[in-house]
Amino acid sequence: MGLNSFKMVVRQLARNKVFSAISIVGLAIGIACGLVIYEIISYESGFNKFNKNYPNIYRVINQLEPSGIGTVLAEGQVHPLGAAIRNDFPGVVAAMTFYAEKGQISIENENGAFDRYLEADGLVYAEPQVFQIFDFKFLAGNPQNALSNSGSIVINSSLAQKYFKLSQGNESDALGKPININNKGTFSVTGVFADLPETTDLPFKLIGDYKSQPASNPYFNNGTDWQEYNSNTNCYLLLPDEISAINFESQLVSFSAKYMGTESPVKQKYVLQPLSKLHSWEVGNYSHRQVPEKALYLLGFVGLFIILLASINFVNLSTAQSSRRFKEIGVRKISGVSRFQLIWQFMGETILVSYIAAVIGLGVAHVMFIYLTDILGYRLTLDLLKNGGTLIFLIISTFLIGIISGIYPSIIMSGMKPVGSLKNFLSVKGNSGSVSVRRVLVIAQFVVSLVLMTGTLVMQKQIKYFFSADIGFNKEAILITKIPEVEKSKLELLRANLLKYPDIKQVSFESTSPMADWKVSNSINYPTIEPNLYLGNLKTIDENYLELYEIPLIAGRNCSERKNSGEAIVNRKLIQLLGFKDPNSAIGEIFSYGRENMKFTIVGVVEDFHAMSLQQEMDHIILSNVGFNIKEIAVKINPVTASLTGYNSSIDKIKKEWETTFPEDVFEYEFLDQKIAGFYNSQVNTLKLVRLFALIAIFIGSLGLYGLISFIASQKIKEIGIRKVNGAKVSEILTMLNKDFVKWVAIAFVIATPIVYYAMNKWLENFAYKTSLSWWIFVLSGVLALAIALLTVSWQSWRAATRNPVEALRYE
Amino acid sequence: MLLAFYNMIKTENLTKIFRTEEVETSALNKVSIHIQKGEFVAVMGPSGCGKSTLLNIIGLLDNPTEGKYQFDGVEVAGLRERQRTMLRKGNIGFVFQSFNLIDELNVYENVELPLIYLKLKVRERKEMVGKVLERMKIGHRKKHFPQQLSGGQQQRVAIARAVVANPKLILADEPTGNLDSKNGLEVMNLLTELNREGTTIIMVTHSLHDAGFAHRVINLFDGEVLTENVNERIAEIL
Repeated sequence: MGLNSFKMVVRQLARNKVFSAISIVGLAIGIACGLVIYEIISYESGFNKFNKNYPNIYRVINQLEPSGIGTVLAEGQVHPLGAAIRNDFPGVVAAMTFYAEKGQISIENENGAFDRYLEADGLVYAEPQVFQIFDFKFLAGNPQNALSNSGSIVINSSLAQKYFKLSQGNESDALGKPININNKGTFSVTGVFADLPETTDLPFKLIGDYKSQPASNPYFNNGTDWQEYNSNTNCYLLLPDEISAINFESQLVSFSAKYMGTESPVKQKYVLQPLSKLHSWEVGNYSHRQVPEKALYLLGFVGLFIILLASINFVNLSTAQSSRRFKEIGVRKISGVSRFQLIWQFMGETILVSYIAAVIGLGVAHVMFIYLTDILGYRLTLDLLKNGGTLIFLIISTFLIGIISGIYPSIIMSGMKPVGSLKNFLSVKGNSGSVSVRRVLVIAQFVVSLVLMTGTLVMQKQIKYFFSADIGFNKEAILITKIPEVEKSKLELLRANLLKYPDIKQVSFESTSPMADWKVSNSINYPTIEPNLYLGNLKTIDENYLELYEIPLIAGRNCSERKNSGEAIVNRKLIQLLGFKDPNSAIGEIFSYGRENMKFTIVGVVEDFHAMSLQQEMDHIILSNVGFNIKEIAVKINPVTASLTGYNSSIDKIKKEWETTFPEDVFEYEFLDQKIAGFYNSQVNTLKLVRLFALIAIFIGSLGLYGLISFIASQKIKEIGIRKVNGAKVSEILTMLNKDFVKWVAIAFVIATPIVYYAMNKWLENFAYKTSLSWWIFVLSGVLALAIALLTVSWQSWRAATRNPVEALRYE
Repeated sequence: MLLAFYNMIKTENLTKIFRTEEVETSALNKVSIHIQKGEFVAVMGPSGCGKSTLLNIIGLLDNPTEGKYQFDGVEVAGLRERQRTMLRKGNIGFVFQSFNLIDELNVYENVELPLIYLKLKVRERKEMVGKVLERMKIGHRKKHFPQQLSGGQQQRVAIARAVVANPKLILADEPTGNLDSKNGLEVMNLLTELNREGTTIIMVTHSLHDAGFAHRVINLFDGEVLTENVNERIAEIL
């Protein structure tokens, strides 16, 4: 298309500003969504690919078959696994085990004092083969021997700069400097590597030598324990090209028997998980960020669908406008243009408009990236010059969108008869394209909008339920902080010092708060139940725990101050499991727990409370003053004083006392209610994403409706005029134009309701405790859809209905 | 004929100005006319003289910019759309040069249209439509769609629609403009017959021949009444 056509397009866009704006905006949003989704998919599917051994790297995971549960995959391994594989299979290129745990780093500064840093992630203890399996770019030190000696540590460039106040490029100055971990072990820096890319599932920042892990792991036991499974201990292999994963898995069967024995109560098998699946399999990975492949396909499908919706709208809007071009088409045809030339002219115009929309779409995508940062947990950027793939995607997809959007209107418009065009017939039958095709498309759009809208409402209701459901204890005004050591006298002094303050009501030392994201889980044994089948959740508490969390006793008494007395307070569910209906009759009963058959005597029974998020069933709970596993301190702040003065002064007091007790550690705290809210982040983020797509679908749907009603109104100008001349009132015309839309919403409602009912039932199945799918949700979204539809069409209908009929009929 | 002197339409200084962003066109300029009940009046004049505008205002499709207009004794110049619709319903029938039938409706349904808006019952509608179709000699075509009819037949359908509700006034905008002379004559005979039965008719036309059927001819030029001639041939007959 030449300059003339270009001018023609620009003039046409300028002439029908409203129409041009909505068709371009619709397309721009479609393209933006496509772009965003393309970026998300390429980001998520690009994880770990920077490793040059990518296709040959595997993680060794366990496939377990505990009785009654089915097959479970677990990533946690025992400490000696990597070494044993290296020993037994010399054909394996490399095998490596690592242990990961957050920790506190202390660096001595020039004043002789310590700068302390909490590293929540990135601290691991790995065998030296880590550098053989994964790609690390060393800026200082030698990967061959950096982890050979006990007490050596390799850190990344950012931390080297942060800890030792180095500028970039001087990382080698960090070599030989001491790093203290958890006030337990001092390491010497033997290497510095460039920061790993964001797209790694193994975002290591500090890699200590494997044997020195007791600084973080009290259960290391010289790395010889074949029973001590821990999800923080993972094992990776690099296989040579000639050994396949399946082949090696079969070799691991006898290996497993050799080291694990065959008498284990749980059937176990080693499975190799390819590195390419690390980001998508449900088995936990080190980065704790996983996206199932199914979700990416679904996202891709949504993207395609939105682009399609936007194209449909474009078709609707441009055919609706085609009557304005009858004369142009007529003149061109009389002047001898061929139909093919006309088709190309219109297609060229549409493609040009698509590119205009793409430019706007880039801006929209940028805004969406900002909005999505919180939801996705990373910030996408649109550097088209750096990112050739995105640029090519944009150019090609925009071209295709132009073709898809342009083909139907082009064929319709180019097929108009010249005489009809010149006489400016307003109702050229069968010539302006059929309404019924678009009707179906609009109904489809309504279905999508309704499904997404109802889905949003159900999700919102479920999340509201999460936050408002009775969880069986009071979570308000409770500050949780870690305790680095558990020496009794220190803890008692800390407690006494805290309780001096009138705004602190209660203090308790515990393994976890009543609801937590981890648990100690072992089997309960008792004569009335099947052995090793039922799991109990053991929480370490003290005598103040029940009062602090306001958990009511329904039988018996609180536990005593004496540690490890074997006294246990259990919940109602547990005594029901043991066969007691009356809580009082369970008092004094003794049951055993765990590998070493700990004995517990029931001294009290409490009402059931939720020990994990509401996504999971209630547990059998054992609260006992066992003395070990005390990890944190819970401080109940007086809500009355807090409501008057805020929490800050209480936090300051707690901080002061804590730091006096543990002078070598960094104080870090969390409020329990916020921590619990965090358990539902993934649902809240899903809701945000679905809500965003719902809004986009509704918006695009509304544009489509606008296009359709404009088309219908322009087709019916004459009919409306005649009806008015023959006595129709404005309200009757409005009814005539709008009643179809009401009908379409009704049809869409009938189609959408079972779909969304099924989908949301499925979604709610993920949660043990859930809201009901109330009828009013469906009615509400139906009414909303109807209201949106009527609002959208009414402006055009109103204009058509109030138009002076004379104008429509005068020039006939 | 006492009734004949009753003024059905009375305009005073009727003025209509069309405004667009750039131009202001005066379509009618202080037009004052009186039309009595039972009269057959032809409005003539060159293109753009304001004939159709006058007809639209008289037909309550449009409001004048200035001036007074009494329809059947009621002042209507400032009425709202809704009030004009109420007054128009059942009182005024329209016949257009291009027939203006709804393509998606068949003959019967096209004719039925005004009766639906008058909220008449199905049985009444059926009877009235049947009668008028017989009278227009197109009863045998009532299931046909407009595209399946000749121009003359289409115009007869349009006239049937205009008269089905027994309006007091029929406004015809060049009713024979798209017809050959034979069909045109047929239409003029129909209108004359309706007029004889008491319906007031105002007809815009370019054709002197057609104007010959009217009692009186109003000549418009540049939005003003140039002359009013009583048609002598007709007057003699009367």
